[in-house]
Order: sequence, then structure tokens, then C-alpha cells
Amino acid sequence: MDLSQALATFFDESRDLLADMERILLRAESDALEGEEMNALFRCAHTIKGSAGLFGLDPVVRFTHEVETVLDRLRQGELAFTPALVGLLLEARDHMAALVAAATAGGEAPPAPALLDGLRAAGGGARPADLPATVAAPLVAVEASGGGPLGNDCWHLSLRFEREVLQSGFDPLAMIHFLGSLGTVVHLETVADMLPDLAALDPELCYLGFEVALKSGASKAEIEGVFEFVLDQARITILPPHSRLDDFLALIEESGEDKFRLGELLVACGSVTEHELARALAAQQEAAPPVRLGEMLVGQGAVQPALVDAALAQQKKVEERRSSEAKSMKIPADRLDALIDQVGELVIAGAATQLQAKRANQRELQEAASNLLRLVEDVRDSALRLRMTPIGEVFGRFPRVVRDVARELGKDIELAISGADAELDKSMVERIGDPLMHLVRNAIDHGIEPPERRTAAGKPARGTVSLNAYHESGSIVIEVADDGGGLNSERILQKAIAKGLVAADASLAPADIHRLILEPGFSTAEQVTNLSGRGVGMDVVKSNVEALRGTLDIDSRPGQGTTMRICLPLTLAIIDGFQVGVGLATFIVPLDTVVECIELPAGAAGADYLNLRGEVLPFLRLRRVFAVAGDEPLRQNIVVVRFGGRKAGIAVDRLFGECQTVIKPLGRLFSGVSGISGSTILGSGEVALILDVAQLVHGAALPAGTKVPTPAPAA
Amino acid sequence: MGLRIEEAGRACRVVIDGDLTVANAAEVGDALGVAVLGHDETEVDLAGVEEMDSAGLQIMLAAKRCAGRTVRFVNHSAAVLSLLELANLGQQLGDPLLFRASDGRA
Repeated sequence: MDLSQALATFFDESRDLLADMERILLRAESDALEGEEMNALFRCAHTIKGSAGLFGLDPVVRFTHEVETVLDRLRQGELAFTPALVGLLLEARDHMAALVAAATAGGEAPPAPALLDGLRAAGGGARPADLPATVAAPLVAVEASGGGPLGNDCWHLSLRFEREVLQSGFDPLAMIHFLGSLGTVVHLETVADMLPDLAALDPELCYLGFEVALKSGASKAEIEGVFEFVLDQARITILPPHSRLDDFLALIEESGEDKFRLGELLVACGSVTEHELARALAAQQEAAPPVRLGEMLVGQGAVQPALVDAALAQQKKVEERRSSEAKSMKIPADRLDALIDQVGELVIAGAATQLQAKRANQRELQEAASNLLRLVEDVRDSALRLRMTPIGEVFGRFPRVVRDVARELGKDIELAISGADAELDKSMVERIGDPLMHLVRNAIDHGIEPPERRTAAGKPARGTVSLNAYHESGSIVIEVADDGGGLNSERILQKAIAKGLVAADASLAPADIHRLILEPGFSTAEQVTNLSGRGVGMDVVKSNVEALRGTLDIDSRPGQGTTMRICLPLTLAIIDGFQVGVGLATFIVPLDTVVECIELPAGAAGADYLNLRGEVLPFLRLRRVFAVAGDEPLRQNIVVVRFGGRKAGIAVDRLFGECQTVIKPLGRLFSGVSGISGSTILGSGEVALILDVAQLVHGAALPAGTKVPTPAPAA
Repeated sequence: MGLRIEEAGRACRVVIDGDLTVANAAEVGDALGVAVLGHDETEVDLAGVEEMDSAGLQIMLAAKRCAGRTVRFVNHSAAVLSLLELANLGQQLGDPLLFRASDGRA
């Protein structure tokens, strides 16, 4: 087995678990946790510790063990969440992440002794003095879920041996005898239910199982060590002292044996008392509708109904978990990319087939070809959907960011997330994270006013930052909104004038003024904080968003807040294109940039601009930009495009119309070519270049004489 | 190590000497099976059992389960007693003939 691959899986898994942990801890800060969440929290740490142990990542194991101890005490109700404790655990989580990352990279993370001391203080016997006596509350919650801790201070061992164990030379009773060296076997039940009578008995096979209550100070590993040599020939379940009823029920469920019988055995061992079962029964009664308990269970006495009922619930849970596991699977991104690439080729090949069929002028062939193309397009859509990920994946990291940043700035801020299930391409999800982070930080830092000023303005002291996402006509819109003071137009304008971004006498609409903050080197913050106000930021956000072929809008109202709206295409792999021709070459203009098409007026033949309904529209001639061979035809068309608030025209020979375009990146060889963002293959098999409208518009809008892009002489 | 069967009409007496472990479990099991199934009542004398393990215990339990046959174990040796105690089966076997003695011998 390739260990590095397994290690990568471990890293992936740990990242998910750590994210879960963070999410639950953040919830713990505001709400009381349910028993199930407490368990989930504990399991996160427990699983990471366990997996890390498998790889021998000792630093991770050692530190996580301390975390686990604290979480266990929380779970048992011996400890209650306080803001300080949540803070500590969050820090611990971060340190775990650092340790895992360091272990995966083969390095070592710096130790965190203060953190360790804090955890030990919380995990140790002494209850920190600052914890209020609210211990009872979580305890009740845990009990109500039917999983209260049991009072027994013995280990419970459930041992089932495979038939061949005797033939392999191991004697179960000898091992049990050896258990006596670790402590006292308080009670033992021999389970001989599978034993046939003498006539059918094969004396060399093992039919026995044992339930053992062991009083011992040994660790689980030591106890397990007793059965070290038969672990693959036996089912050994070891429940620590004070295990919860849930654990016993899980044991019953997993055993696959007669539940009533095993329940009796557990009671016989003293591992579960009748009283505890009765208590679990009461909890059940509260949780479940009374009808269920009134059923056939009455006749069975007080003990079994609870066991069976809860055991069945347990089984259902296991099934649900299994089915949800089956619902999703992990696929390496490069395989998915390869698939989508191939599907792209298929689309092109399909289009080519249809073209040939048309030329052959055979009706059946045409029909078959168009059928094929339709199916291929379906496949393409499905394949693209495979890459779709909920935006929630990105949103998920913000509760923590907001918490930390708000704390740092001394502001009280609530984060409202909606539309987390809106989906977009995986690669976009990854690349939108940083710009969003910037916007959220900006909203907290600049947007939301300090509490005093908010109260003075008659607003609640607690500010709200909201993240929202929704689909809108083939694109996804992501909004970062705050209910702060809004942008100060006057100050922005003054600053822009001071920086020479606009003329002193310019009269700009408020929306245009707001857009000025997207200019490079612009920052209005009077107070430079740790987070923002260094003059880099919004322009970077803007260019990041534009790199994803998206747009960034600002909607700000004084005193009411600001909304930053990012609009992104759903996928980077396919765009709606507008096909145009120059000479023999074909180009694609991204359709979302096209405003309109007009005929090139005869009078404008030699100029670089034209009069579009009283407006000056600069335009460039694609024939010259790309030095396409041939003479200009008599009639040319202008495609009017808009990008980043600017309009320009592109003069072409012919307009072909809309088409779906599978984007193929250009090779490295072409990385220096300006004005082209990619290529695609047309149904006819010809290659068409996709125009980089942003660059072209930029070039066209510059005063004549500047060099981008250089109009090459027609060859 | 040996196993001796003494016939007494519809009853019989089996005397086990030596070990009652997985090493001879097949042999003892078969012989005991023949004795138990062939008679209404079987008395098994365990005084000579020097060593016993889970396999031996299984034979004892299985013998007790034969429907319509009565099997009594008598004269448990120290080895047998300590194993029964470990397995907590003294009472479950319900042998009226099971004697416990502080010195380990009945």
C-alpha cells in the first residue's frame, strides 16, 4: 500500500473533521449543544487521534489526546462550555490543524506549551474556578438522548471468538485468566448459546463467547494487548468504565445476537443495571411517542423494551450513515478534469459528425447524428455538474473569521449566511475564497461602525454582516452586505481628486464615485489597522473577480450599509460565445460582453471611432489586430462590447451568431499573446480563438498612439 | 491420559484421567459422546483431570445439553474447579455433584 496516498487521505479527512470541529465549537459559543453534537465533536478529535496513531504521527496523537480528554469531560457533562473554554478549544483546533499540516509535510510544528497547560487544566480533575455551576444542564440533555453515562466503574469486555481460535493454539479462558493480572474480573458470563449438543459438537472448534466486567486501572491498549494475538480471530469490544448506554446499545446492535439475551448478560455483569435501563426507558418515553413503548414491549418487562427500542434506533442510524456514505464519493480532481476535457472533445466531434451528415445529405444519417449530438450535450451537462460544489464550502470558513476579526476590533458582529447551497464550479469555489475573505474583512473593518456610534445612530449595537448567494440567469451572484455606515462618497471623491484619479471639477454619479474604491492604490481608511487600510485590496479583489470572468458591483446607501455584489459565470469550462468571422478566420466573443451589433457606417472606414447615437464609440479592427490576410470587404460589422463599465467596438467581416463554446486553454507558447484568452474547436474541426474582451476594450479605449494592442499592418 | 467407560446397564460411569484440553478434545469428545448417547444416565468422574481449557469446558457444557440424557459430573479436580469458577459456570451447570472445597479438592 502506498503510504503517501493514505497519508493524503488522512490529511483530507482531518481537514474535514477539523472544519466540523470548528463549526460545532462556534455553535457552542452561542447555543447549548445537543448530545449528538457533543458526540460529533468528540468523535472529530477521536478520529484524528486514531488515524494519526496509525501513521505514527506522535505529536498529533499526543496533543489531540489532551483535546480529547477535555471534550470527553464536556461530553460526560463534567465540564460546561464557557466562552473561555470555547476560545481555548478553538485555539487547540488550530494547533491540531498546524500539527497535521506539519506532519503531512514531514516537518514539525512549534510546540504550544501554554495551550497544553490550558487543556490539561480543563481536562484534569480540578474544575477551573471560573466555570459556573451549570454542569447539570448538559448532563440532562445527554440523558434525554438515551445516552447518559452509567455509574459503573468497571471496564466491560465483550469477547466473541471465531471457531478456529482453539486450533490456532489460543485458549480464550487462558486469556481471561491473564486478564486477572491487570485487575479484578468482577463478573464474567460465559456465552455458550452457540454451543451444540455433544452429538453435533466438534470439540476442536470454539463456540464460546464471554462478557466480562473488569475492574482495572489499566489502559484500553493494555487490556486489548491481552488479546493481541487473536484480534483477527475474534471480535473484541472493550468499553471503558462509565461508558454510556449508547455504547452498550451499539455493542448489542453490532453483535448481531439475540438482543434480549445480550441485554440480560450485560445486566448480569453489572455493566448495566436495571435502574439505568429504567432511566433510559424514561428518557425514551420523553423522546419517542408513547405508542411505541406501549406496543409489544410491555410484556417483556422494563428492561428489554428500552434496549430493543434504542438498539433499533441505533441500527437505523448506522444504516443512515451507511447510505449517506454511499451517496457521495471522492474523486481526484484531475480525473474529473480529464473526463470533462474528453467530453469537450466529444461535443466537438459530435458537431463535426453532424456537419458531415448535413453535407452527405442523407436524412437518416442526419437524424442519427443530431440524436447523438443531443445525447453528447446531455453528457456534457452532467459532466459539468460533477464539478459543481455548493458555495457553502467557502462560506463555512467565515463564522470563524468574523468571530476573530470582530473580537480583534472590539465590535459585536453577527454573520448571517444564506444560499449556501447554491452551486458553482469547483475551481471557482477555490478561487473566490480570497476575494470574499477580503470583502468580509472590509465589511467588518470599514463597514460596521463601532458599537457607540451605532447606538448613537439608533441602530442595534450588534452589527450584521451577511453572505448570500443565488443563481441568476446562468451565473451565480454572491453578496457580501453589511448594515454599517455605507460609503462616504464625499471623502472618496476628495481622496480620488487628491490622488489624481479624477479631475477636480469632475461631476460623477454616486455609483461612479463608489467604483473609485476599486482603483489601484485607493484606500479611505483613516485608521490603518492590522486588517486593511494599506491601500491594497479592493483593486486586487476586482482583478481577481475579473480573472474569473466575473463582475464586482457596489451598492451603498449612507447610514444603511454597503452591499458588494460579485457576479460569476457558473463554470469556466464552457461559455456562451458569439461567433464572428474575419477573412477565413473565426473568432469567439464571450456573449455576456456583447451589447449589440451594428453595421460599420461607410463614413467611418478610416477612423478609429464612430458615432453611436451621439456617443463616441472607439473601435478596433480585428483584421488589423491579428493581421488577418485578405482585403476588407465592403460591408463590415461592429460588435459593441462592454467590459468593466467601458464600451468599445470590434470591427469584423461577418457575424455568425451564438454558439456554445468549450474553452481550451492556450499552450504556454501563447501566454504572451494579448487579446486572446483561449481557443475552441468548431464543429467543422476548425480552431477559433476566443477574444479577451477585457484586454481589447482596454486597448481600444486608450488614446490613439498607445501601443496595446499594436495594429499590425495587413499582410 | 486415558478415558475409561464402566457399563452398568442403562447407566454408565466415565472416568477421565489426564488432560481435558484441545489436544485430546476430539478423542474425549467422541468417547464421551458414545457413552452419553448410549445410556440414560452418565456419571463423569473428573478427579483425574490435571489440566483443562476452553475445549474441555465446551465438552462438559455440550454433554449437559443432550436432550433426554442425564449427565452428572463428579469429583471435580482442582483444575476443573478453578476453570469453572473462572468461567462462572459452576451454578449454570447446575451439577448437584459439584463440590467446592477451600483446598481445591472435593
